[in-house]
Amino acid sequence: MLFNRIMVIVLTALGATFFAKIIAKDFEASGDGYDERQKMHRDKGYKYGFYTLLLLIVIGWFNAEDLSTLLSISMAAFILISGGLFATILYWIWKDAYFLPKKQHLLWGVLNFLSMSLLQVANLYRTYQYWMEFGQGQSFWEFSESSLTSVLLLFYFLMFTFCLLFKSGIENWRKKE
Amino acid sequence: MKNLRLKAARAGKDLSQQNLADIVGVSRQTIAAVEKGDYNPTINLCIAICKALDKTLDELFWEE
Repeated sequence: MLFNRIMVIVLTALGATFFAKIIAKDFEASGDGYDERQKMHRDKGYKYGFYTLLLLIVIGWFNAEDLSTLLSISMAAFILISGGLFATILYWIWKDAYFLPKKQHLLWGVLNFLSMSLLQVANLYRTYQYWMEFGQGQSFWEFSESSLTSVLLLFYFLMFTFCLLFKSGIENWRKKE
Repeated sequence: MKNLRLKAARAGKDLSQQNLADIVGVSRQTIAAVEKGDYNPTINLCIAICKALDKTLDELFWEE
């Protein structure tokens, strides 16, 4: 039952991704897109994201009973979908297929992810204050399930930031060589 | 396999990887990947690189 609902959400997300990809293709066809190597790696990124999604579904499937006590349906679906997207974006960054060739603004990319991380920290801190005030007798995670989402997003955004900076460090090192 | 002829031709024209990438319309990392032999470019990119460096396809990409 839990996984039937999750499959509906996952399929809806895949449908949305499909349309987003068509729109992205149109954008690339307009001439302001990625170069051929980047397109190849971006396609591979989608593929690895999809495999990650499938892997997470299989893992979830075999642990469905345990997970159903820990996670709600929406949270499980969020973890599945965001896990796939996480793998895709991380692969793009790692293969230098995240930025457009003429718009490699590392600073803006890092600032973007850092600001989104800070937003999650602020959200967690606000929830923590509410919990201290009103959450008697409940654990923090029972008090607010959205906190788990924030923690997950915080992890993703910090990983993207770290990966961008790490890649930039490698780039500078190679230039000096 | 590394494409040392491409690297030499680029250096001969006094172009950095970024300069060549800007002329050809790709990212610097793509030029680096072609030079290192990590990426096989399409014929369109090969032609664009050859035109930018005033070389023929044979001179830059043909291997005996």
